[in-house]
Amino acid sequence: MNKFNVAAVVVLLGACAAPPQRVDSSRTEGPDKSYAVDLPVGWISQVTQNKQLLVTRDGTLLEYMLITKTPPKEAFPKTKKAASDSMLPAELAELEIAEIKSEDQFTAALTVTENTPAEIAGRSGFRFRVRYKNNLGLEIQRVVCGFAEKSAYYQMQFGAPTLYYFDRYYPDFQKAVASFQLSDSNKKTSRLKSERFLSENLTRTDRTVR
Amino acid sequence: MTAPILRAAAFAILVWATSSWAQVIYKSTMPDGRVIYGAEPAPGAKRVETLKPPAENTGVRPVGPKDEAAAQQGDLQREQQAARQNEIQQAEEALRDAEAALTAGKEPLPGERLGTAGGASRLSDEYWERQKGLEAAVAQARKRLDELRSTGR
Repeated sequence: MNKFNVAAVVVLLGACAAPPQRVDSSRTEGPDKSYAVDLPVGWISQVTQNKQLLVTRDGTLLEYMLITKTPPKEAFPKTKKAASDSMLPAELAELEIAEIKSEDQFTAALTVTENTPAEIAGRSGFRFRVRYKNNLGLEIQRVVCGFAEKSAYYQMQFGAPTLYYFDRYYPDFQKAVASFQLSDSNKKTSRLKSERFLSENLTRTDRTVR
Repeated sequence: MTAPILRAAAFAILVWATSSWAQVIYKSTMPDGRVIYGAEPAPGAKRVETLKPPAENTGVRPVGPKDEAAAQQGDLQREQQAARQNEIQQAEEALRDAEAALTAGKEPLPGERLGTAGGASRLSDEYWERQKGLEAAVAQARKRLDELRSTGR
């Protein structure tokens, strides 16, 4: 198997659990209806065998968004680590970065260009950006956001070559992240978690500033 | 004097052209059909193409102020249509309620039937006033619905 890049992995993941569909109405529910997200109209979406929501416009090798919901224990299959809702966003981000690094020799040499706590669907999480070159020297950038709940680990990522594609479609991903919402049953716990995170995080930021 | 300037300009153009040339994504199709994108062609590729930047005018997003305005206008029209549909539904409900009240109101209320000297009975003026009110309410609800329906045409 040619160790290419994550897009190739994504293509494999996307191996046809459900037929691809054009996104006609931006509001889209996840496969198990536990979340809803605004996807760019006109893109093609597909639910993979692992119940991930994969969206692309020109093909997954050129740009893709991938939304994943997994049980916390299966959050990081390559490194065989589990996520937990008690973990700090930075810890989850480190596990996620390690997961990407373990994909192949090219992602192993990635550079983290941004890593910050983020609020996603009112929930404390992380957002980081990495860049690396594939086997033919093409620079790929990926942005990954995620958070852990007691019952699930949610992750959203966007990847594209830096040249032409990343900047062009990154705003679409940002819109998708901003619109991401858990279904009603998940909202209450999310809000409480978010409040707790904000109060803890503000304290931490204060300390950093000093 | 002009020669160094010309040389510098030529060098600048060369640098610019080289960097522009380097800004290419190669799409390599391998003999087994796999497609690989790279900053250089894949060795052994059956076919190599260069990708141009995705055109601004492709896809479904608005590409200029005019398109943006048209899209917003479309959204506004859809919203207005939904609001009007909602108003019509409410007017239909109001008409149904008024008609139901009229039907239910046919039955005289206590005190609205008066005994006559001949031993029979008649309905009081209050009853007929109440009927008029109920009929007026039906007529008003029907008028409102007709107005809403006609304005949409």
